Amino acid sequence: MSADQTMKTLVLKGVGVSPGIAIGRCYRFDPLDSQISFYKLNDASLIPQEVLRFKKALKESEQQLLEIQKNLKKEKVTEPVYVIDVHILILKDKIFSNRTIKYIRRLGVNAEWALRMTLDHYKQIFEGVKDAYISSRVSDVQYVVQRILRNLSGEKNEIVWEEGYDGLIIVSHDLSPADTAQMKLDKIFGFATDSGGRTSHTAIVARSLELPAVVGLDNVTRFGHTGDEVIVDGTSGLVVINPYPDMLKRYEEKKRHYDAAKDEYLKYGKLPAVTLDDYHVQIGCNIEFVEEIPSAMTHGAENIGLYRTEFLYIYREDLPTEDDHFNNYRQVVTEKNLSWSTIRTFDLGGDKFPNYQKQGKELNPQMGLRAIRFCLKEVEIFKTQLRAIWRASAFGKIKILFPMISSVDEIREAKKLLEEARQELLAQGVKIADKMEIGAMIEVPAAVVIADKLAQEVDFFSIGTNDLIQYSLAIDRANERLTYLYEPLHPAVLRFIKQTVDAAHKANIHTAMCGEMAGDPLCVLILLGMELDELSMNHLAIPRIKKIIRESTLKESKILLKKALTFNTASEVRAYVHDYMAKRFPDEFQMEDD
Amino acid sequence: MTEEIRTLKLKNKLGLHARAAASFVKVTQQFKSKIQVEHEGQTVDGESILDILTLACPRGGVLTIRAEGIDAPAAIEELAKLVENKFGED
Repeated sequence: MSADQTMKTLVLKGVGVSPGIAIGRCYRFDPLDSQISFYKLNDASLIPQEVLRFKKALKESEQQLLEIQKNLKKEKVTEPVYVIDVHILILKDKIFSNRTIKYIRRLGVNAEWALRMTLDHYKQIFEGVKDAYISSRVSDVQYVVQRILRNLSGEKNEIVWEEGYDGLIIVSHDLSPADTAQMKLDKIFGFATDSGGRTSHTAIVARSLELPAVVGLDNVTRFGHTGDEVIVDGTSGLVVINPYPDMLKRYEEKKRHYDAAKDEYLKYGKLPAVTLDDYHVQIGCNIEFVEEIPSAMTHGAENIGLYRTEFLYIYREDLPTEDDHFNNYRQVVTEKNLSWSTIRTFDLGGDKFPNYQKQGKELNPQMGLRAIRFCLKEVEIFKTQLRAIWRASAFGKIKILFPMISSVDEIREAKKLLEEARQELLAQGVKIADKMEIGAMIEVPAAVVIADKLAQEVDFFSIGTNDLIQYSLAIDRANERLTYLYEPLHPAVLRFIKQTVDAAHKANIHTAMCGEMAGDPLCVLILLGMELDELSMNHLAIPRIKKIIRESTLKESKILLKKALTFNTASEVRAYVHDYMAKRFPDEFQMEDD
Repeated sequence: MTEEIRTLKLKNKLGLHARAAASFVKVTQQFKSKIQVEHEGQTVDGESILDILTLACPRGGVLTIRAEGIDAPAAIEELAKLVENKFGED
């Protein structure tokens, strides 16, 4: 690009789903509408040839999908491979192809044009379907049409690696497992997509590869053209197309800082979290997807302190089978450098299950029929998960964690079902671990108050601060006007946590914390002072938390906690703790003071 | 030429959704018989996944399957088994 050809700089805001900064060249993936020519055939004699061209593209598309499917199966990808099955069956659908051929023959249009007409036809039909799920499956038809179009154009889906390109930023409407499976991932620096959220496929892949990604940009495919210079700022959720020189320089600087800080922190990730006076805290990582394990490991996780299993239920149309559960759990527990993996049984309400949808919306789902309450009602759904957890226990150490416990009855009932599942498997001769540690989430105030009783029933506690704070302070987390009340350092919350840890230690059981608070640098010393045994957090927080712990002492933490507990209000606690931390760890808290 | 007709009720949780439709079509494509599926007055080609999908037959919905051809009885039998086993879903 010469200097006089300056391009317009454009900044788009989306959702940052994988942090960091990537600077590279735009590669437009799946440009359905651009670069496709629609034309009428000049002569009827060209028709047979055009039909043949279409059939050839169908065949090629099918072969590509079969190949992708084969590779996905080899890699034991956990996402449903059946979607690709559906795509293959659409390619083989005679009604679909005959309609397209009919358009070519009768109207004398080229295959691309005919295909678009077929797609429009199906769009209309699917729009007319009342079932919202089925109606949305028109996206499968769209996907298949795109693939055929690509083959018609002779593009072989290979990413072109042009001279002088420093790396590619994949710009796309959305990405499916089949799309990313065929990319040369080592050539990619970042992702920017029109649609998607934190849990979309693009987000998961980006996080597992530690590549910056921004999704939900609405129209990045409209503005980004292959070859454009693009910045993806996954930390703040911004994408810049054709940055002007000063802006580019600023971002290059920012990227250098980010990468240097990351390298610096990652060094701490590898070290144990031991205070100067030799108090050891175990550091766990919270994960939602198997794909997050590599980044958990590089950031210094010693165990998986919380594996949320809701994902297995949400992004699919049917219930996960025992094998679906098992395949995921086994992948987690076989990671050899983990001391253990804490699998939390699913915390979902009935609204996520087909049979319950008609029972009407709950007015207050946070306090509704969810988590352990739902599981104890839907025993079969629950036991499917319990059996899979037992089966995976033969492959690595698992601790099981029951969410939202509010009474001794619930924990006893859950334990009974867990035992039943064990007996069933033993009767079938299935290999499982001899024993499994059982834990209760402490997130309901009632559980804190009866922590001494619950401690008699379980092997460990895990304090879920997010819910504990919302329930104890009676705040609806979804209500934005109440966010100012959400305060982990509220005296009531601190007392609740202390009470829980004290009750656990009196009964000689392990206590972990897996809420956001566990990864908050400001709160580390307070939690150390309580003598929590384990802190589990998102992988990015681990190095910084370890660094602070390694530079502090248990003694000072206890003094700080004691002082903090004397204050009357949350703001006094916060001011005091912040002041202390900023003085004690100037490097860590400097930026927040600016 | 044999013709065989049977009425089946869907028992799987989600009815004839994508995964079930895929299993259904995979079976019909194995047979030589022409297979047609009717649901609430709409009749479609049993070998077309898009046709089957747009029937939008829910759980508890009733399908009438008509097979015409030399292997019609076997085809109907196989499809009935699939529906009976809830498409191997649950």
